[in-house]
Amino acid sequence: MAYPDSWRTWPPDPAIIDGAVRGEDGSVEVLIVAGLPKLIAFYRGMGVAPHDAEDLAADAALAVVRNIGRLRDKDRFEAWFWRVGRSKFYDHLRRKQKPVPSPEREVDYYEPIEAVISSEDHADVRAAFESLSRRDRELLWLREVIGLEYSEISARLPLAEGAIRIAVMRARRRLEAAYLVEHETQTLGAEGQ
Amino acid sequence: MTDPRHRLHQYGADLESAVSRGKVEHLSTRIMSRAGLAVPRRSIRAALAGASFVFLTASLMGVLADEAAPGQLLYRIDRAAEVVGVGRGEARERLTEALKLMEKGDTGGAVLIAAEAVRQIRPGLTFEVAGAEPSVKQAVEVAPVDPAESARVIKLAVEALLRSLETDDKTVDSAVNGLVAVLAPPGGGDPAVAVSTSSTTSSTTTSSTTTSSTTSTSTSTTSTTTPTSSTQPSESTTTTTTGGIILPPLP
Repeated sequence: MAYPDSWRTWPPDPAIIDGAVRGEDGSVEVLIVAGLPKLIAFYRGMGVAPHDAEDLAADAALAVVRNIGRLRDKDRFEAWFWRVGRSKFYDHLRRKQKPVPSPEREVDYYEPIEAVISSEDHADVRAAFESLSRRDRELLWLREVIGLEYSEISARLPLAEGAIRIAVMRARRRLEAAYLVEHETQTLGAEGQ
Repeated sequence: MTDPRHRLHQYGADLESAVSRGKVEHLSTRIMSRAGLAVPRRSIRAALAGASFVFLTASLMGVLADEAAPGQLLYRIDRAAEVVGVGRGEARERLTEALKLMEKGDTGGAVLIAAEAVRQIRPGLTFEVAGAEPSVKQAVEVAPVDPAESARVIKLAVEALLRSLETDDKTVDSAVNGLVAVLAPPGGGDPAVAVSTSSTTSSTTTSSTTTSSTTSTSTSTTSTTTPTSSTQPSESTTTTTTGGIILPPLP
């Protein structure tokens, strides 16, 4: 299978998913390549350190590769994919015995471009986001960044879709409140200088 | 104030974009390997890219060494590059080198290199004067024994072959034959040996004379080579046989 130019395409084409379920190496490869940046970004968003985020993403992707043959409903691929991703995240937290990653104002960047992106463009929203609880961050990321449907988020959580919808709405309000505070703080700081 | 949801979405997208393709390829290769799946093509591409880098580096070295003459630092690199086909053409370059050496007066070295060029063009040597270019043929028929004249004849033959290689493929065969005839004429009056008389070694040498009959067909040439040994006294030099051509020793 040809390596796609648009390698970040997500969600993957149904034919790719189908091929991966059948165990075709090329399809599995495309799936991994497209999914890894999503996973890494998710873990980074959850406050995981850069190198740990990569290792975690690799572990999650490996779990996806090893278990995708069991995926019966291809339409549920994305929900299933993120279930695996989140499961690995919880494993990571347990291993590290860290109940909640602490909000990071000064993140350890190891790629210059990343440092520029985060430090300049996203400082306020990142600070607001990181002030939220882990659950709020996870729900917001799945909904606002990844774009999962409520039903997809609730698929593997012990919550009904309605409960998820309310939880996401509350998390969104908390983000807005934190963002407003953060934004005003930074504005005042800038004026003070 | 921008909607924080939009900002959050953009933050996530930027974090994702910051993950380079190289990093993803590295990780996915690792994952595929751990999962026991086929190594991604990327690895092959990476290997090819690496090989290309090595090849390009070698090519660059070859180009830089292209102009090197025997004895110069880059000459060995030049020769190594030619083994893998890098350079302007092995035979043409050999012939050019031969001419350079002749200009320096090293006719013996030039003969060796010219013979090498002949072998590169035609590994199965055919000795035949009939098809040679008129100038070469004429020079050979004169059968000069004077070293200076021999050098001139060899130079003519080398130049003729070089010209053929550069301009007209149809005359390459005859030009090769002409050069071979100059280097090792069937009659044994070897001008190549004659020009290498700078050495004063006195010895008796067993050399080979080669008689070949050529059968030409529309697609191939079959050579039947019958080596016969003869003992010939040589007062001035020690000859060596290389690829059917009687060659003088290196000066």
